Amino acid sequence: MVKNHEAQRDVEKITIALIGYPNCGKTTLFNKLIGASKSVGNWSGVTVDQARGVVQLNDSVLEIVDLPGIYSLYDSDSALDAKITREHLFNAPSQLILNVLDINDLERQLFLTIQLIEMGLPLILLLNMQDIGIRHGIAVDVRKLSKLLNIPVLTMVARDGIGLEQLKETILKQTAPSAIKEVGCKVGDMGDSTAIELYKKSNNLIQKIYDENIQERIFELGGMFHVEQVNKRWRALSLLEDVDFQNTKPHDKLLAQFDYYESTAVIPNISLEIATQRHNFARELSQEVISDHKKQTNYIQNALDKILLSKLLGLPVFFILMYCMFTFSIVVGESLQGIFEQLGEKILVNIPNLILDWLGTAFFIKFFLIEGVARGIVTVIAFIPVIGGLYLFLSFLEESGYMSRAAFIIENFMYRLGLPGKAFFPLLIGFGCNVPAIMASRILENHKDRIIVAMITPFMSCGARLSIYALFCSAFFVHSSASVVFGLYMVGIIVGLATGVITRKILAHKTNPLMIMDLPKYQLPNPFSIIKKTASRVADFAFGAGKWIVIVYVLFTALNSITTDFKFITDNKAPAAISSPHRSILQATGSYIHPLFIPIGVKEENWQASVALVTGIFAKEVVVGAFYALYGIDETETNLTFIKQKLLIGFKTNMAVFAYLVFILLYFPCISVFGVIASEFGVKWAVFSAVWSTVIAYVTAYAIYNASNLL
Amino acid sequence: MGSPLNQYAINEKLILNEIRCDQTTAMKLISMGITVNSTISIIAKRADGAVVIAAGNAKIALGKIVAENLIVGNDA
Repeated sequence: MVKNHEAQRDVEKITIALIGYPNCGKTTLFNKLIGASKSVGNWSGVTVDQARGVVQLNDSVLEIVDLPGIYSLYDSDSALDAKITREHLFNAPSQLILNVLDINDLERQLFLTIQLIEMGLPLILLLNMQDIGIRHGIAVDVRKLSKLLNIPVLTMVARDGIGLEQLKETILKQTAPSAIKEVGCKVGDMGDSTAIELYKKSNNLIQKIYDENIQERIFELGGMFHVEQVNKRWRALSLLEDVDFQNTKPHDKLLAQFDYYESTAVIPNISLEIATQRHNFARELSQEVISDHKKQTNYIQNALDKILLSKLLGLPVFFILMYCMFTFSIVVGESLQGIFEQLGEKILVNIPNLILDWLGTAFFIKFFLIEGVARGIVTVIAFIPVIGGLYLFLSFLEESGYMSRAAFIIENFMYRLGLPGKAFFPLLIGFGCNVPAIMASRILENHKDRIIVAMITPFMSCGARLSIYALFCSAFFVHSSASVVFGLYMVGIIVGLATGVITRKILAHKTNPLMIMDLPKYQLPNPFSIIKKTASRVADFAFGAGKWIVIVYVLFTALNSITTDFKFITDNKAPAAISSPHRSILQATGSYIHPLFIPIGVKEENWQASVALVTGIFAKEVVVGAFYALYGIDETETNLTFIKQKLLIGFKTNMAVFAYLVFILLYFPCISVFGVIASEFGVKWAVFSAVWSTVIAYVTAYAIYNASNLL
Repeated sequence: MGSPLNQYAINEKLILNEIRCDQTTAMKLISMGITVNSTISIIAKRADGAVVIAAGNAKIALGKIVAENLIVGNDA
C-alpha cells in the first residue's frame, strides 16, 4: 500500500532520485509513485527544479526526488536545471537511483546509464514507454541487459501505471541494507598495484567500455589519488574528461591536473575520445539487447515535420496556431462565462442570502459574507472558462510535441533579438502565468540570457489579464474581440522584445548562437491528460490568484462602503461625486491618483478605473474583482450586464479603452512576479522591471490614445 | 574530408566525419548521440542554415553555427 505521508521521524528516510534524459517520463513516474499531479509535457525542460515527495512503502519511508533531465553527467552545459541534477548526484547522492529511459531511444540514453554505473551509484534501470516500443516493433531482452549491467532492469508504461507494482517490490529489495552494501563496491577502487591487477582480471563490464590506451590512463591517474580517496576509478575518469569536483582533495587535484595534461599529450582530445567510446559502447549494448526491431518509417511523423518545419509553411502555421489559441480562449470562454456566473450567483449568492435572512443574521455579517466573499468567489468562477480555454489549448500544444518545433521555427528570429531559441519556452509559458515562466528560464545556460527573459516575461500577457480583456471586449468590442485581444498580445510581445534589446545593451551581452535541441516525437494528446493538466492549472488560478481576488474584493467592498467620516454606505450603486464630503475611503484615495489617468482617456468621474489599477498590483486579475466591488451591483441585473453598462460610460472613446487595456497589459508586474524576479535575480532587477514596465505602460497608453484623437 | 552539414540536401543519408565545434558543444553533441561515424540525415532546413537532423531514433535541431561545424560525407 502506498500512501502520502509527512516525514516520519521514527523511521529512517531513504532518498531515491529519478534521473534520465529530458522528456523520458520521470515526472509522470514521480506523480504515479507519490500520487501527485506535477506538470508534465512533451518537450525538454518541463522540470526545471527538483521536486520531493514522501511515500510509505510497507515499513519504509521513501523520499522521491524528481530531478531535471540531463544528457550527461559531465555535460559542461551550464543550464541551471542540469546543474541542479549534477549537484544532487555529486554532493548529496541518493541511496538509490531510478534511471528512467525511453525504451525507443535506448542507444542514446544508455550513455547516461553507463556514467551512473561508473559513478558507483546503486541503480534500477526503468525502460519506460514500453507500449510505444511495442507499437514500433521494439523488443528488449530485459534479462540480458540486467545481466550485462548487473543491475535490475524493468519495463514499464509510467503514464498508465503499468509495471509500478514490480518497481515498488524492486525498490524494497534494493533499499534493504544488505543490497546497498553490495552495490557500493561494485565498481571497484584502485589503491595499489595488486588491486589494479585483480580489477583488470575481473569480468567487470566497465573493463570493456574503453580501449587499452584510455584504460591505462585511468589506472595511472587512479593510482595517484590519496589512499583514502573513494571510487578512484570514477574520479580519475572524470578528471580525464576535464571535470572538477569540489570534494576532491587539493593534493589529488594537483596531481590529477598534472596527469591530465600529460594524458592529452598521449591522446589528443582525450575527453571527447572517452565520450565517443562510451557512446559506441552504449550503441553496441543496445544492439545486443534489442532482439526484434522492425525498422519502420513513421510516415505521419515525417509528413507532419515536412509541413510544420518547412521554410514556406512553418512560420505561417505557427502564427495561425497562436491566433487560434487566443480565439479559442475568447470564443469558448465567453460562451460559457454567463452560464458559470449565473450558476455561481444562484448557488453562492441567492441561496446563502435566503438562508442568512431566515437565520436573521446581522446586517454587517451578511453584507461581508454576501457582497464581499460570495460575490468575490463568483467573480473568480466567471473567468474560469476563459482561462481554462487558454490552458486547454496550451496543454494540447505541449502534449502534441509541437512546442519544440515552434522553438526551432522562431529560433532565428529570437537570435536576431539577442535570445537563444530555447527562450521561446519560458516566454510561451508566460502566456499562461508569468511566475512559472520566470522559473522556466532556468533551462537557459547563460545567466544573462535568463535575466533578459525575466525582463521580457511580464510583457507576455498572462491568463489573468485575459479575464480583464474579456470583460472589456464584451462591453466595447463585441464583434472584434478576438482581433483586439490578439492586438493586445502583439503589443505585449513588441514591447517585451524591445525590453529584451534594451536589457541586452545594459548587460552588454551577446547570446551564444549554438542551438542544439531535441525534438520529441509527435503524439496524439491524451484527452484525459490534457484535461487533468488544464484542471490543475485552473485550480492553481482559482485557489492561488483567486484567493487574492476574493481578499481584495472583500477589502475594497469594505473601503467602498465606508465614508471618510466612518459612516456605512448601504447603497453604493451610485457612488458619490468625487468631491463629495460623503465619499467612500476608496473614492478619496482614487481622487489622488485619478488625474494621472485622465490623459489616457479615462473619464473624470470614472475614478474607479484608476483605483482598479492600484489593486492590479496584487494580482492582475484582481482588477476585474475591483471593478465589480467599486461599481456596486444592481440587484435587477446580472453582474456582467451591469458592469458592462458602467464601463460603457466610463471611457472617452473606444481607443481610450484600448489604451487603458494596454496600460493594464504593460504596467507593474503583479506582486508574485516581482517576488520571483527578486528571488531569482535580485531586488535590483525586480525594481528595474517594475519601474520600467510602469513607465513604458504609461507612455504607450498615452501615445495610443492621443494618436487616435489626431486621426 | 567532406563538407559542412548544412550544405547537403534534405533526406540525403550522411556520415559524420568530424566535429569541429568547441569541446563543450562537441561533448553535448556526443551525449545526444551525434558521434563521429554515425549516420545522420537532414529532415528540415531553415533559410539561415539551421537544420533538423535525424540521428538514430532522435530528431535534433541544430543552429547554423553548429551545422556548419559538422563535417559530413555521403553514406556510400
